[in-house]
Amino acid sequence: MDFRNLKGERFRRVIAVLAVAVTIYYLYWRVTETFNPNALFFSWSLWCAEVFGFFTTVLFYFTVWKPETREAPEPLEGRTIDVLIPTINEPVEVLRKTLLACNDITYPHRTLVLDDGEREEVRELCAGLGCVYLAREEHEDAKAGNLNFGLEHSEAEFVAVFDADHAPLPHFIDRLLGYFEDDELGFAQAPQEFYNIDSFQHRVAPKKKYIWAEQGLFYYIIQPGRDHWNAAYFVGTCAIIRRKALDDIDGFATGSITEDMMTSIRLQSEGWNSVYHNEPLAYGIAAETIAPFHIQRRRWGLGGWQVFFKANPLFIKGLSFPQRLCYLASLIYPFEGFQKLIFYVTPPIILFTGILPMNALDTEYLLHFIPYFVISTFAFNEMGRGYGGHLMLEQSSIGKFMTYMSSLLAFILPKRSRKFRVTPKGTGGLSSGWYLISQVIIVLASITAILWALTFLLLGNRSDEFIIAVNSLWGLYNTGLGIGIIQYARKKHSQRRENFRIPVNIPMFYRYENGEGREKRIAVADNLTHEGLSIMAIGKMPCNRRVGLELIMPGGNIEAEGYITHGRTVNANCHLASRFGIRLDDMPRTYMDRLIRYLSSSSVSKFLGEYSTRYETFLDRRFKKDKEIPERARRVPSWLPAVVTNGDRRPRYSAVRNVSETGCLIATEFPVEPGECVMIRVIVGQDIVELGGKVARLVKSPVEKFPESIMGVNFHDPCCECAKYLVKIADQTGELVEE
Amino acid sequence: MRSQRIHYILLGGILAYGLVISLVKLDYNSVFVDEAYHIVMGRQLVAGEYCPGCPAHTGSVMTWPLFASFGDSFGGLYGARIMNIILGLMLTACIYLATRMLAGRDIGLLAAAIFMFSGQALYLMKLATYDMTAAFFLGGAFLMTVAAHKAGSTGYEAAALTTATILLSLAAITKYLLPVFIPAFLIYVILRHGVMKSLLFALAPLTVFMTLFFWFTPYPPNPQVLYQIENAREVSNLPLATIFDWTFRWLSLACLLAAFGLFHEKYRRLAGLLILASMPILLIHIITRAEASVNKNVVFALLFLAPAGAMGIDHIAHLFSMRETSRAVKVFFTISVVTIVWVYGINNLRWLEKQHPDVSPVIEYLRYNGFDGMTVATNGWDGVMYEYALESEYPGARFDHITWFIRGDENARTLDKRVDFIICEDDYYGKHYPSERFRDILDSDCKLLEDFTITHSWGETHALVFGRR
Repeated sequence: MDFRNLKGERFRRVIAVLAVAVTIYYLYWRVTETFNPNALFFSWSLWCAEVFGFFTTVLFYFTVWKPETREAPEPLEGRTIDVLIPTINEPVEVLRKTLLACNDITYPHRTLVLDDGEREEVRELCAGLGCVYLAREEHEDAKAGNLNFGLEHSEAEFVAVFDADHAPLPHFIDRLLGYFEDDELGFAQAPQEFYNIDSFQHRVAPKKKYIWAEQGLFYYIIQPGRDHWNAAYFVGTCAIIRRKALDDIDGFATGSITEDMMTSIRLQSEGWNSVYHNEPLAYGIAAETIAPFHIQRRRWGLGGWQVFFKANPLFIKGLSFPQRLCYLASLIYPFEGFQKLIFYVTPPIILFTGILPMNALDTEYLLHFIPYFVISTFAFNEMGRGYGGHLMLEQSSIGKFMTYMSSLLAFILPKRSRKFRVTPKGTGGLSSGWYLISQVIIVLASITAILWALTFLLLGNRSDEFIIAVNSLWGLYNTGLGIGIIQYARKKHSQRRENFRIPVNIPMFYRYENGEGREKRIAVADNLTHEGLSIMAIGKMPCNRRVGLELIMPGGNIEAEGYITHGRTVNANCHLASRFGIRLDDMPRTYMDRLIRYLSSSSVSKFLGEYSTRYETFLDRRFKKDKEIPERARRVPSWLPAVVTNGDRRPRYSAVRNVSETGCLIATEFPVEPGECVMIRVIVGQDIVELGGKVARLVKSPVEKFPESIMGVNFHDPCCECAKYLVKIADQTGELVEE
Repeated sequence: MRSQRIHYILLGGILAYGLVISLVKLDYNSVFVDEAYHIVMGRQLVAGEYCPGCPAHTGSVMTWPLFASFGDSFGGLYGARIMNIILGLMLTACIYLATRMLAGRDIGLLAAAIFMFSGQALYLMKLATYDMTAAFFLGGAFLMTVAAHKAGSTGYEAAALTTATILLSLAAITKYLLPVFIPAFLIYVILRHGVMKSLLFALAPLTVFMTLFFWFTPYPPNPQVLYQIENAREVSNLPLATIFDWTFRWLSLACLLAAFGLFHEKYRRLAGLLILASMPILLIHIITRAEASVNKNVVFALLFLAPAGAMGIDHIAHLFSMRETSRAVKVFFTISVVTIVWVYGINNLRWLEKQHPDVSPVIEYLRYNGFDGMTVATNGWDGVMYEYALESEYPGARFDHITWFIRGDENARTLDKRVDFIICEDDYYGKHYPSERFRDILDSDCKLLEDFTITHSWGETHALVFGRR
C-alpha cells in the first residue's frame, strides 16, 4: 500500500482529533453526571472500560498518524548473510518447504537450521538440502536462546530470521538488504504473511476478492505507522538484523517468551534504527483453528506482561517519546480482555437485575452517547485506512478475551505455566470445545438475560422498557459475536483437509484406463498442494480409480500418479463438465520439491496478489477521482485449457481463467509483451474454439525460476459466437467450484 | 413459490395479531370524551343537525365523525372502535405495500410488524377518534407516492400522484396537524417528478380539493386551527428536554432501529429519506413545545419510521450474524429483534390503554342511582360521555358543565335546583379542571355521595359524585 497516494489524509487526522475531543467530553460528562450512586462499582467498571478503549484508540491514532511508505533500495553488494531458522517440533515437511524456499533465495547466503528438538530426520533433511544443521545441548531461553546459539556459529554481517513455517520469496534479501546502507539501521522487517486464508485468522469474501486478516491491521497499518516514528518492531520472523547491533545488546533478548519485542526495545534503546518494508516477502502458516490461535495469543499475552514488568518501554533509557508511546500501545493490549469482559457482562447484569451503571438511560444519555459512538467508529475506520474491519475485530476480540485474561493468570501463577509453547501447525490435534467455553457462556447468559427481562416486561413486573430494549440489542450484538466465533471455530475444526490447497490455473493432462485402453485428456488444475489437487475437465470421469497426471508447469512438467477420491459432473452447454478431487501418490522427490517450491513462491504470491486486504473507506469513496467505474462485459470465471501461439514462438499450453464476450484472462508461460497479437485455441472436450486477440495487459511473476504471466486479451472480434459459446460453458461449469 | 406462501402467511399473521389484540380488549376503557363527541357529531351531521360545541371539541373535523356514526349505528361504541381497527389493518397493509415496493418483501414484512406491534398503532386502532383515520389517509398517500415513484408509465404516475394528493388532503382535513406534511410532499414531488407534473397532478388537485372543502364545509376550520395553535402556545411551552423525553418515549425504539437503517448497505439513503419524512410532526411538537396528544401524534411519524426501522432490523440481523451467509442465523436475529419490538409495544399499549380515566364506576353509579330526566353537572367538558353511555337508559337526562347551572353573583353563588348530581374529576388526563373553583357551591349546596378511585398508568385520581344536600 502506497500511503503517499492516499487521498483525504488531512480529513482523516481532523476527524481523529475531533473524535478524541468528543470522547474526552463524553467521558468527562459520564464521570461527572451519569454515575449511579446505588451501583458505584458497576458504574466505575463500565467507565474504566470506556476509558481504556479511549486510551488505546488515542495511542492507535498516534501510531498510525502518518504511515510510512518505502521503496526498496538496491541491495548492498558482496555482504555476508546467514539465514537462521529456529525449530523445535514443527513437522519435517513444513520445515522442508521453508528450507527449499531458503535455497531459492537469490542473494548469496548460508542457511542455518537451529533444531531445539535434536531430531535425526531434520539433520538428514539439512544434509540433503545443503543447509547447516545445529542443535544445542542445553535448551535455555527457548527461541531467543536458540537464535543466540545460531549467532555463536555465524560470522556473517547480517542474519535473516524465519520461523520454521515461513517460506521466503527468492528476492527476500534483495529487497531488504539495501536499507542497511544506513549504518545506524539495526533491522529491517517485512510483514508476516500467511497463505492459508482458510485459517481461523482469516475471513474471505471470494466474490469480492477480499481477505480480512486478523493481523492485517498490525502489519498493513500499525507497523508502517510505527515505522514513521522509527518504532517498527521485529516480529521474530521475516527480518534481517545487523549482527553488530545484536552484539551491542548481547544477542537476542532473553527473559521474555516474546523475545522479538524485547529485542526490538533493546536495539532501539541502544540507538539502532528500524525499517519496515511493507511488501510480502515470505509466507507462513496462520493458526488454523482456535486451539493453536489460543496458544499463540496466550504466549503473546504472557510475553507482553513479562516485557511490561521487566523492560517497560516507559522507563527504559534511550527510547524516544514516540517510541515509548508506540511500545506502550503494543504492551497494554492484553488488558483488552478485561475491558471486553465488562462489555460482555454489562447487558446481562442490567437485564437480570435492572441495575444500571448510569443514573438513567434516557434521551439525554443517548444524545451524548450516539455522537460519541458514531464519530469514534468513523474515525477508527478512517484512521485504519481500510484495514480495520470493526465488526471482524470485535468478533476476533470475543475469541481471545479469555486468552488474554488467562495470560495474566499464567504470569501470576508459578513459572511452570510460563513455558514457551510453539504454535501448533494444522489443527494441532486439539479440540476446539475447551477454548470456546467462555464464548458459549456469554451467548447463553445474554440470551437467558434477554428472555428473562422480556418475560418480566411482558408480565408487567418491570417498566424499564427502553432500558430492556437497548440492552437486549446490545446483548444480541454480543450473542452475534459469540455465535459468529463459535460457528467459525467449529467450521475450521471440522474442515477436511490438513493442508490449505492453493488456488492455481495449471493446464495438465490426465490418463486413465477406460476399458478399451489408456485415454489421455487435457484439463486444468484449480487447486493444488503437494498432497493433492482438484481438476476441472470437460468430459465425464468415474470416481475411485487411479490416474496418471502431467502438470504443465512453468519451468518444466511434473508427472505424478494419483487416485480420484470424489467428483461431480454437470451439463455445460451440451458438454459434460467435471470437477475431481485427486490424492497424489508416490510423487518422485525431485518433482515434489519443484512443486513445493513453485507453490510456496510464484503460486502463492500470484493468488494472494489477486485479493485485496483493504476495503474502501468513506473518505476513499469521497476523494476517488473516477467515481464511475467504466462498464465492461461480465467476466465469468473459467477453467478451460487452451493453447496460446502467435505464429513466431512455440505454442504453450495455458489456462483461461475468466472469459467475457469481449476478452479473456489467461495464465500462461507463453513469452509475450503487451500490444502483441495472439491466437488462442480453447480446448472444449473434442472441440477447439479459436479466438484471436491483442494482449491488453500483462502481469509477470516476480519469481524468475517459474516464468509465467497473467495475460489480459481483448478479442479482435468482440461478441462473436465463439466468445458467447465459451461464456455459456464457463457459466455452467462455475457451479462446480466451491467457494 | 413456497417462500411466497410463507411470506403471505406471516403477513396474515401480523394482521391477525393486530385484529385479535384489538378485539380481545375492545372494552379496555369506558368511552373517552373525544370518542363520545365524535360519535354524537357524526350522528348530527348525518341527520343534518347542528352540533353545538362539537367543532370546539373535535376540531370541526367531519370525516371521522361520519365513519364513527356509521360504526355506532351497528355496534355502539364498539362499532365505532371497530371502524378504526379496520382502518388500522388497512394502514398496516399500505405500509407493507409501500415498503415492499421500496425495499423488497422481507423488509416490507418487517415494516408491517414494527407498525402493528407498536403500542401506538394498536391503541389508536381501538380508540374511536380521528387519529387512526388521519393516519390511514396519510399512509395511503405514502403508498401512492411510492407507487408514483415506481410508476412505469406517465398515466400510472399521474393517477398515483393525484390519488396521493387527494389522500393527503383528506388526512389534512381529518387532523389539522397533518398539513405539516404538505410542504415536504410538494418539495419531494417537484424534485422527483418535475415542475410540470407537480403542478398538474399535485398542486392543482390540492388547490381544487381545498377550495371545495372550504367552500362547502359547514364548520370552517380556520378559527379552530388558530385556537388550537394559540392554545398550544399558551398551555405548553415545556422545557426542551421534557418535550424530547415525551416525544421519544414513544418512538425511541423505532428511532433506534431507524438509525441502524442509516447504515444499511443497500437502503441507507432510503432510510434517511424516510426518517426525514417522519420529522415534520416531531418538529411541530419540539418547536411548539406542546405535549398535547404527543403520544397519539407520534403514530404519524411511526408510519415512516417503521419502514426505516425495518431496514434497521435487516441491517442489525446482517450485522449480528457477522455478515455470514447462514440464513438461519440471520433469521434468528431478525426474530429476536422483532420479539423485542413486540414486547416493547405490548408494554406501551398497556400504558396507553390506561392513560385516560376509566369512568365505568361513575357510569354504573348513575345507571343504578339515576333516573330518566335527571340533570347532571360536571366540572369538566366531559358530560357528553356520560350522556352517550347512558342514553339508552335515560334518554331524557341532561349532562352539562357546572357553569350552566350556577346562579347568583360572584359573592353568593348557588346551584340551580334542577341539578341532581355533580361529577368532579380534577385531573382528567392531559386536561385539568379544578373543582376547587366551585368549592363554595359544593360545600353549601351539595354532599359527597361517592368517591371513586380511578387507577391510571400514570397514577391515581378521584371521581367525586355529589348530590343535593
